[in-house]
Order: sequence, then structure tokens, then C-alpha cells
Amino acid sequence: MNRLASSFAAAALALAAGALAMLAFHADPIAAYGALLQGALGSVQGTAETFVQTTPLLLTGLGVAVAFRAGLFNIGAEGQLVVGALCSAVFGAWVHLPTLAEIPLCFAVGAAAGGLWAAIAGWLRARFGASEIITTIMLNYIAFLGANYLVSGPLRGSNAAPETAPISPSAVLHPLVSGTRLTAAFPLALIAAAALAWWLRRTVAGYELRAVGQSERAARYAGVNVGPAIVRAMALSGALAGLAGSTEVLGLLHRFNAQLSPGYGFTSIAVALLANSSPLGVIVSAFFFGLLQNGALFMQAYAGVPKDLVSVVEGLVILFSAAGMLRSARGRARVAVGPEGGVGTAPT
Amino acid sequence: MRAADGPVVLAACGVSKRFGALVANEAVDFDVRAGEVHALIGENGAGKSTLMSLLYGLMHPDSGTIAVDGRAVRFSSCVDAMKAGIGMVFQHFLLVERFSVAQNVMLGREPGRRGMLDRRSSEKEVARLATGYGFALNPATPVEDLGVGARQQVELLKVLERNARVLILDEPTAALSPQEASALFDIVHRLRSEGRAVILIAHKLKEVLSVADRITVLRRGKVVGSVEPEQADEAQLGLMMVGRSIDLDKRVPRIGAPADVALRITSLDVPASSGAGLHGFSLQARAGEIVGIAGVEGNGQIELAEALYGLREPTAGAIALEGRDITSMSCANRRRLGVRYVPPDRQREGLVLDFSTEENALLGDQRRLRRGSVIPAKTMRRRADAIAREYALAGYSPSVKARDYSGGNQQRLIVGRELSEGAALLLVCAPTRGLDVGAAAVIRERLRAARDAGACILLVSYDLDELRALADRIIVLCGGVATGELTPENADDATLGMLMGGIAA
Repeated sequence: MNRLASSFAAAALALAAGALAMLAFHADPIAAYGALLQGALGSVQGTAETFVQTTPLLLTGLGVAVAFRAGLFNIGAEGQLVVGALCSAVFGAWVHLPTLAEIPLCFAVGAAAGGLWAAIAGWLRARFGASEIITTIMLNYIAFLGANYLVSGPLRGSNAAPETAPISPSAVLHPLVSGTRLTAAFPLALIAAAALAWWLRRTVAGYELRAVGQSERAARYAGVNVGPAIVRAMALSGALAGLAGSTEVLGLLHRFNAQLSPGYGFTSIAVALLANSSPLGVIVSAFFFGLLQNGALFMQAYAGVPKDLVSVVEGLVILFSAAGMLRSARGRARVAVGPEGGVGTAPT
Repeated sequence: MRAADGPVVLAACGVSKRFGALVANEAVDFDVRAGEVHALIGENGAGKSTLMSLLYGLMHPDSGTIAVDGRAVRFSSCVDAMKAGIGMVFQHFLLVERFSVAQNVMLGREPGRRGMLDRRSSEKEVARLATGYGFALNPATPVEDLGVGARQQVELLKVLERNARVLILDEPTAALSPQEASALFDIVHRLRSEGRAVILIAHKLKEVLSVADRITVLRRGKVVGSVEPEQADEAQLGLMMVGRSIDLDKRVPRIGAPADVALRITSLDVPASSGAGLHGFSLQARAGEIVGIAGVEGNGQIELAEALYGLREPTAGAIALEGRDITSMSCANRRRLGVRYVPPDRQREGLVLDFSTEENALLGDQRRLRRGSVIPAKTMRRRADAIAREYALAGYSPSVKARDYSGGNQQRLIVGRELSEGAALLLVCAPTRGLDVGAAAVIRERLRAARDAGACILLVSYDLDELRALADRIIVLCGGVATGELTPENADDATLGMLMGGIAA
């Protein structure tokens, strides 16, 4: 409950600080946020587009969150998304199957590719103790530059532009509502969040993953094979990011190019932080960020506030979320020197 | 022992402190005189630490006053308390591992000029202080290379360097060997003869009786009474602490004779992590027997226990459980065969502190009891409920985090979990360390019951009274080698001490 309140406080403070910044530049924050909301939720098209923006943030946010729950900091969601998208696009262009077989296979390929890419960092961590923070950042560069090379060379389609050949028509996810870009990817992402919440809470593998994240040592004493558990957690995290890449390819672009993601994988870190790594919380926080991103252009057009202000708000969310976590950690430390742990529960 | 008649230097007058509904201290009067050792005893959760936090300026009383030299004071933090000449040595040491002894002692008040540290003069100062008290400490040694006893000396030096007039020692002997503890008490006597006041928080009644000039007992936040050691004995103090009589160290004979050999260890070599490692260790233990492992901490006990539990790979030798070779079996598989472990560090090894009680009650058996790939929610809940009932877990609810229990309740939870379905081989390390008499009595009673039910128990303990009270025989380890085997009747302190020091008896 407390954590929920602190997440909402972080979001509210970030919006308030954004408003202060607007005031400093003589813009009207009420008009600006009004325009942002109007753009993001004021019409069927706008609302649908907000869900479109939410989808990849939700999937990558789940990925980062599950890594957090295992005590791992996956900064590489963006790279895993790119690898998943590329493999999905190549596979989708290469095979021609009935839609009901092809689309799930394309998703599977994207998830597997993202998962394998992240598992490299997991393995390096488990085998050599290499910090996954560093290795996932480095794997990001390899993914970006490698993908760039492949689409300008070996995997380039017939087109002059550096992009892959279009996927076969049977791999295309069509809009659910005509006149919008909203596809079945959004409900699928919601299902993924619910499934992940259940998996973490109720399965033995999820239990062990959380145990490793809370206390690697205690998990080892409980007979958990910690190394493989870390590799599995990273693979799951990367698979979710890879899935996000697949949805972009199958639903929106129908091919792969380097402009596929405006940085969903990086924003997803803020998404997971704000949600305090709870899968159901990620739904809310991904929607919040999707709304900001989608409304930003409208805000720029109708209130004259540059859309980059949204990036400022996003950064502030990270800052305030982190500050909230520090505060609760310090509160705990203070209780620990308090009344000998109490007879029953420690006072809070 | 002599009653101190120096002036009162530090006093709490009628202090009360509440945390929500919990009354931690209620109208407590407590004082300490110059040249006096005043012991404060009580169960876990009796309010000892709260009282010390009030005296040391970490918290403010809700009512009542703290007085230094008879004048009421209000410390805004422990910095003020230090300035008033009060120093505290915490049970869990607060040392910077990578820093040297001298750097730790001088931390926050390093000598130097124009922002440059003067390492030599701080080392000289620390060396002078250390030799003065007869500590064999090299000021340049990093603290990470020191044992528990030496670390405590560093903590003492930190306080003495600030020339504290009042020293608060919070369970100083909890982690020490008997020899180290008696060395510590020599220092305590020395501090007293220098006219310093010492407040000693302790659990071991025998120690308190031998070292203190005055003993005050707290129970549920209130002072039950103060006695002088000449007029008290352990039974009386125990009665004051818990409100009923408990004879913790009484031997209870086992029911029935031990059965067949359950555990057979043949010339086992285990590499060391930080201690001595284990070399050529052999042992045969029967079902229905408690084998005690004595020794100074770090002499191969943990290596032995972890090799048996499957967390540490032996380099030579064999382990067989009930005739089956388990030398290279995984920890999870050994648990399936009924190998159970109560590790020495309950907070970091025995529990996941941020897991709920019921999740902790499942820890270690999550795979054995699973239903398909799903956690057995009902089993988990039933198990937690059963442990809470049998072990009288105070403040229990299935969703309470393990972090929020007191140390005694945490240990009850661990022991309850490890014994919940009976054990073939139970490995137990320092099971009652830091626990109050009530909790310790429960744990010991359960270990005896597990033995009588046919478990083979290996008990590693640094508390010789505990070994004598529980073990059916005692094996002494020194430098990773078994130096002797004794019956509890023959295991007097002198004999054990010699074997623990590697001197043949």
C-alpha cells in the first residue's frame, strides 16, 4: 500500500515539476496538460494510438521488472527488442504459412532471439560474475550496430532503403479497429502481464526467482541452483523485450529497420521502476508513459510546449521513484536499531 | 566483587518509549556509577536495546529524562552522546572492512594537516592505545583479515580513543570463544579499575554473575528488579527474566538407545573459504544421537556442515547417509533424502527476510512439495500455521515478513521448518546464539525431541554449556582436524580448551 502511494507520489511530483518548468518559460501548464490529455484520450484514434504506444512499453517494462525481481538490472531491453524484431522480420519474410501458424511462430522467434541475447549476459554473470549492467549495455551496442550492418548489407530487401524485405501477408497483424493502428498485440501484452504476475507468485520457478533476487545466499541454502536461475531470469526478461520487437514488426512496420524503436527499451526501465517491479503495476505505469508519449505531439501543436518536456517528466519520474525507494530503505534501517525487533512485528 | 560507590555518571529516570501499540520501555529507572559494571539482562524484546538507544541518543524517550552527571540532557544524536563521554560497542560490528585497524579507530577524527592524512601518527596513536590494553593488534592490518575477537578489540579502541567514561557493550560475548570471552572480561575489569562505567548487555547468566557488580532485569519493558551477584544465582535470574523457572543447561537423558550408524564420513578433505578447511575427517554417527562439534570459530566446522549439506565440494573422502553414497549429490537431492540444515546466520542464510512467513516456511522444500510446477499453497499455509502453533511464534500471521520477527522468533521459524517432516540428518550451527533463555529452551527441547524421534544430529556450537547440555558425545576440531572426542561428563572447560587449542589432552 505504502509503495503504491509512493509510486503515485513520484508520478505526481514529476508532473508538478514539469508544470513548474513550463511556468518558468511562461507557458500555461494547465493548457499544456489539457492538450496532452485531449490528444491522448480525446478521440477513438487518439486513445487507440495511446494503447499502441503502451504495448511495447508494457512488454519491455515486464522484462525489466522480472529481471529486477531476480535482483538483476537489465539495461539491455532495447538491444533485446532490436534482436527480437530483426529475427521476427527475417523469419516472417522467409516463411509463408497460414496466418494462425505464422503469427505465433513469428512471436516465438522474436521472443527466443531476445531471450538468447539476454541469456548471454545472464550466463556471463552466473559463470564469471560479470556485472549484467555492463554486459547488457555492451550487448546493446553490438545489437544496434550489428542490425544496422545487416539491414544495409546482407539482409537488405529489394528496396533502396536500409531495411529488410516485407514480411509475408500472412504474418501481418491487422488493426482491431479500422482507421487505427491498434492490433491484437495490446490485449496480448495485457495477458502477458497477468500471466507473469501469476507465474511469479504461484509457480515454483517464480518463487525461486524471487528468492534469488531477495537473497542469493539464502536461495543457495534452500537448494536453489543459483547460476541457472539467473540465466533463466535474464532469458525471460529478454524474451519479453524480444516479443515487444515482434509486435512492432508484425503490427506496425511489417519489416525491420533501424528506426523501429524510439527507445522503448530505455523508457521501460522507468516503467518498471515506477511500477516497483510489480507486473500488474507495469500495466498502469506503461499506460502512463504511453499516454505521455502519445499526447506530447498534441501538446506541442496546441499548447506550444515542446514535446521534449515529456522526456523531462520521464526523467523526473525515475528520480522521484529512486528517492522514494531510498527513503523506505532508510526507514527500515532506522527501525532495525529500534526496539530489538519487537516481541512480534516491528513497528513501522 | 565489590559494590561501586562512585558517583552516578549516566542515568535514565522514569523513561518510557512506545512504538505504536508496543510498549518498549515503561517508566524505566536505570543508572550506572563510575567504576561499576552494571549488567542489563532480559529476554529478546524485553526492551534492552531500546533503553540503550535512549541512553546513546539514537532515540528520544516519550517521557522521562536522561541525565549525565546528574544533569538532564537531550541528545540530538549519538554524536552528542559521544561528546558527553558515552561510547557504545554494538553486537553487530560497524567496521569498514577494507580499512586498516588504525583507519577504523580514527574514522571521523583523522589527524592530518591541510586536508592531508597523517597515517603514521594515527597508527602510532592506535598502537599506543592497543598496547596499553594488551591488545595484539597491528594498526596497519585491514579489518577484513581479522577474526571476531580482534574486531571487537577494534570496536573497543574506537570508543576508548574518544576517552569514553561510559561504555555500553551490547552482547559482547555472543560471537566469542570461551578464551576470547574471558580475555574480554579482563579488559572489562581493567576499565572498571580505571574508574569508567560499563553497561553490559548479556544473555549468558553465568558470565553476568561473574563479571557484574550489579544486575538489572528487564521484562516486557519494565524493570523487574536489581540484584547484586552475591545475592543471586542463575535460577533466580532466569526466573526474573522469564517469569518462570528454566534450567537451560540441564542434561536430559535420551529416550532409548541410538540405532544403527546413519552417517559415515571417511577421511573427508574440504577446502577452506576463510577458515581452516577440513582435513582427513572421519566420523560415524548413529540415528538417534547428537554429536557435538566443538572448536573455536573458523576451525573447519562450517566446512564440515556445508560439505554434508552439499554446498561445498570435498576434494577427497566420502560421505554416506544410511548406506548410500551422497558425496557428490546436489543439495536439493540431499534434502529429498532428509538432510536438513539450520545455518549459523539465520538472517542471511536461513531466511529470505522479505518473504512472508508462509513463503519462508516452504524454503528449501519448494521443489519436493510442488504440485506440477505450482507452489503448494495449502501445504505452505498449513506448514506455517503448524510451526507458529508448535513453536509459539509471537505476532504470527502467514503474511508477516520474516524481517519483522525478533531473532528468537526467526530461529523458531527456521528450526520449525527444518524439522517439520522429520529429518534423517540434521545439521545445526550455533542454534541458540544470541537468543534469550525462553527461545533457547524451546530450540533445545525440539532438538532433543528430534533426536529421540531417530534423527542423526550434528551440532556445531561455540557455547560449551550448550554442547554439554545437548550432545551425546563431543568431537573437538582444531585447524580442521579432529583433536579429540569426549563424553559430555568428561568435557570440562580445561580439557575442551586444550583440545580446541590443539594441545593433546
